[in-house]
Amino acid sequence: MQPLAAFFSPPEQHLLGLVLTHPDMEFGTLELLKQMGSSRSSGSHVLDRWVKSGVLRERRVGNQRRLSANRDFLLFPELRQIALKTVGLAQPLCAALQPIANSLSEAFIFGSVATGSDTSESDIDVVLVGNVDLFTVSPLIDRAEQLLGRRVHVNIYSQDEWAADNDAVLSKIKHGPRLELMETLRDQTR
Amino acid sequence: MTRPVEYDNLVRTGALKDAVSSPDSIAQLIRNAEQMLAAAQLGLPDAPRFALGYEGMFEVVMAVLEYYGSRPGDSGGHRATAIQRVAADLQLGASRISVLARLHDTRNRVTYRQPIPPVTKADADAMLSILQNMLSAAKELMRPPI
Repeated sequence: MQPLAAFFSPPEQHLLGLVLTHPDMEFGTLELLKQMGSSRSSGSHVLDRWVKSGVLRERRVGNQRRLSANRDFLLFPELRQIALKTVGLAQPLCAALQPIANSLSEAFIFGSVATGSDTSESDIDVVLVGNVDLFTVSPLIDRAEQLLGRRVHVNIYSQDEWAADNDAVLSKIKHGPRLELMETLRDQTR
Repeated sequence: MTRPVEYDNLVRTGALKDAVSSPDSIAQLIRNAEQMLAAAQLGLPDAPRFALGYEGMFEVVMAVLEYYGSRPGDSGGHRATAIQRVAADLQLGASRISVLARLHDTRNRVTYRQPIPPVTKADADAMLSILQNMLSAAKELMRPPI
């Protein structure tokens, strides 16, 4: 069972994954309904509820609704973290990386996405540690980029490189904020 | 030698421009690429290995473009188009073309946008492997004129 299934319906999970991971973007109703895989009536009901509760912000342009994540919502930071750790980034990335899961000892997102300072233009910075090369990883990441609609910058390190303690940049990456991917990757391979 | 129609199409869109093709110039571009590859194999750190690999790869691209009487257009993004066109003509293969596009973006990122995180050993190894492939394929393609 996916971790969010206990809390959100599948259309709501899709909505969460799209809107909360692109907080600086506005979406039209039809675009959101398509992503949610919902009928017009049931999907609109969800959107109305999320607007009323303050999760989404609504702006009218003529007779069109433009919806976006509401950064002022009380639980925005927590919901965004939930979205990033699950349906928004981690699951699509892990699904793409699943063929090489057994060759990796570490996999995580770092940089602006992990610190919450990213915009929709920001790369998703990923570290992979293990016995893999770029020729194997790059086509897998291409697939994830298509799903996510964002560029993924992947940094591959061997175990020896990762274990070295004489590199200031690596040290900062190792000890900085991160979104772990290994647990999801292991879950997918079980 | 007949220029493939894809080059004519890219000239029409402005992504490439027509250029004079000189055997001496093409031979020099290939020599440059060979020297960059040789220099990159002298035990340098990853950043200069990557830079030499990338520049060597682009010398190969310029050589093939000139072989077909063309050069990159002047607007932004045409370098990437030229690289992709030549890589496809040299039959680099899907996964290598994917990596090459990624490494071109990496080069732009560390050069123009953000130097951190720096290029990795995996990036430099892949760049040099691609340069080797493209260099030998380009020499094969252009064997009669050189």
